[in-house]
Amino acid sequence: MPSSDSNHIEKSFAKDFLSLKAIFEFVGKFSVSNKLNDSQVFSIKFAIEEVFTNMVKYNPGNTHVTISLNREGKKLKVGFVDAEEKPFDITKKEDVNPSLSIEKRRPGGLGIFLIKKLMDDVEYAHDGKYSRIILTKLVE
Amino acid sequence: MFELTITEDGQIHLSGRLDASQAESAKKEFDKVTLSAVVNFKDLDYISSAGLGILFAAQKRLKDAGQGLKLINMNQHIRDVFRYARFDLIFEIE
Repeated sequence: MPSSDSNHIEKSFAKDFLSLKAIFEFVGKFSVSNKLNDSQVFSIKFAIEEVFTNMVKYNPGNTHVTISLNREGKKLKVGFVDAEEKPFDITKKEDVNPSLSIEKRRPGGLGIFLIKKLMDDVEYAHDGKYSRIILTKLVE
Repeated sequence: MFELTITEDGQIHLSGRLDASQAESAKKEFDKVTLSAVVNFKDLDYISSAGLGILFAAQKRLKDAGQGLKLINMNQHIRDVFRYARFDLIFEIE
């Protein structure tokens, strides 16, 4: 069941790229009530899409991902819970080298690299059954 | 909603949101581009790495053929993402 108050909102989304529209509306509602600026909203939507689409592409085993948004003073925390037996720690993913020439650059890894640029902290935990990711954005 | 249209002067005009749910249709359109072109971002509100990947693949294919894309009128948020990704080294951005 979705839960919400002005500082906390949580909802499960089907693992499908088509869920992005509903996810962006979910973020939009929270952003208005928390008076986030356009730049903050862009960064949060971008980071959520990158994590969510990774879960859709690389862990298709279960059907839903739970996303939460939580305002704790100057920190905006975005949480993801995904049932996943085999951990994939995005904080350990080696950064792409964005300075390579077009001939040497390869697709892949750019999304996680950009999450680290747009957000202030990325945490990952795995308890044997669930992957939990928390992205933090300083919003004041 | 994402739309790609070709204007009368040959510019590729992007509008809306280029996210992962729109990437397949966007890729089909960019695959049709075979010559140098200007891509106008004026009405594009948002792009994710899925969209960046499509533009990168198109630019790489075009560069191999001696052609290229020039990107114009990005909003500041998209411009920042391109800068973080160092796509300013890959595209002419105005």
